[in-house]
Amino acid sequence: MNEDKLIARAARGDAAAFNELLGAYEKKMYAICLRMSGNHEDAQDCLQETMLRVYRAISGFKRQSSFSTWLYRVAMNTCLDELRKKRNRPSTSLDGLLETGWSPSDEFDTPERHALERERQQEIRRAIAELPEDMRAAVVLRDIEGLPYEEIARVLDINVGTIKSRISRGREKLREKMQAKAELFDMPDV
Amino acid sequence: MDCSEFRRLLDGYVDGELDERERGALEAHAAACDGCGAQLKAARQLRDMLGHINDGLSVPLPAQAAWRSAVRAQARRQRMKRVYAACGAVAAACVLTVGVTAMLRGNPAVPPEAFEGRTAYVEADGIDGVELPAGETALLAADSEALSYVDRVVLTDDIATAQGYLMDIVAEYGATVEHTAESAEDTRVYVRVSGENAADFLRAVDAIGLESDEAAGTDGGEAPALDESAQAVGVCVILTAA
Ligand SMILES: [Zn+2]
Repeated sequence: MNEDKLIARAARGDAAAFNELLGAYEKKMYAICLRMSGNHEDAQDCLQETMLRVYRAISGFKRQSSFSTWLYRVAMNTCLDELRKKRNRPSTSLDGLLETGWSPSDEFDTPERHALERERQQEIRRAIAELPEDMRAAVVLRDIEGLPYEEIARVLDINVGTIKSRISRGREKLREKMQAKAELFDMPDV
Repeated sequence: MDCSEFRRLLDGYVDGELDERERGALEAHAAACDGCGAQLKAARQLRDMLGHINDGLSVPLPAQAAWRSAVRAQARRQRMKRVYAACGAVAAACVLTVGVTAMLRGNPAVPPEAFEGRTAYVEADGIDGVELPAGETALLAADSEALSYVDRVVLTDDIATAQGYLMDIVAEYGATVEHTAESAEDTRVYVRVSGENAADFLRAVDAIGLESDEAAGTDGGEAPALDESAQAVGVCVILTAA
């Protein structure tokens, strides 16, 4: 069944159609939740909340934007709301928020990957999780999801100039973290 | 090019937006300037790593199952709210009992004994303050959608493990478990899966056990063939000791 038909059925409350429709976007949505929250546990909650919001809102989806842009928007807003909620719960330490531990489904847990590469990836994930949320959102959409600046502006509802500056500053912070670990990233000391 | 111009153009370089001349000038400066050379190296490495950070990422099964069942629960609540709104507050509890029983009877995947003597249930948060008897088995099986019905027998050394595999498959195909009945001989899991996913789901189920007995027929009779055009398919998976 094509996407438009599934959207129409889902908008009438058909959960089976909805689950099929969103099943195709599940991985992308999860990746956003994971990169924004920094750990699998919160990513699962965030994904569920995103899907419920989409389910409740899909009957109002207007096609002014593409379906995927709209989904990115709901997912990102949900992630930012969840992060805000989390911030107001003082007991959670940053270490607890970071993506740690490996399970068979974890990325880069294949034998052919070098330990060094794994360590670098872990460091980068940690650095992303430590970025200020506004920069993190912009960098995730641009450099991980590969969205053009104009679409990021629509997803985050912020003008392109601001998006560019957030991405620029976010990348700069990430480069600083890499240079602070010059040995790991094989950087010259300057 | 000087260092400040280099910094101004670096993002454009990463994004592939510079023309050939600018790119050449930027690279020439980086080759001559240690500080900017390190920046450029870091920027390229960062771009490559971020671009591949989700390679091999898969959505963990619990996360797959969680949102699907949350959506189904939400859909059930909305459906029951409509029933409730149509019937009014006084008759609500009665309507729920009758309505759900009627729906259950409409689902051939759920055996009569599964709901004998039981009243209705609704999600734990109930419907607009209507309290249902606590401890009632949660069983709101069929929708108004047409159901087709098949069954599968899985022979296994270890029913609990096979049931675990089955739950993974249920999550993978966006199916839902509607009822589980354990007896001394076997464990029967009544699953609902969309018509489109039914064939794949059954193939996965067939791969669980030592051997599976396709369409064995639970009551000695021949089980009906899979109707993939049905909106939803009720599957009775019988896990039995080999
Ligand atoms: Zn320089």
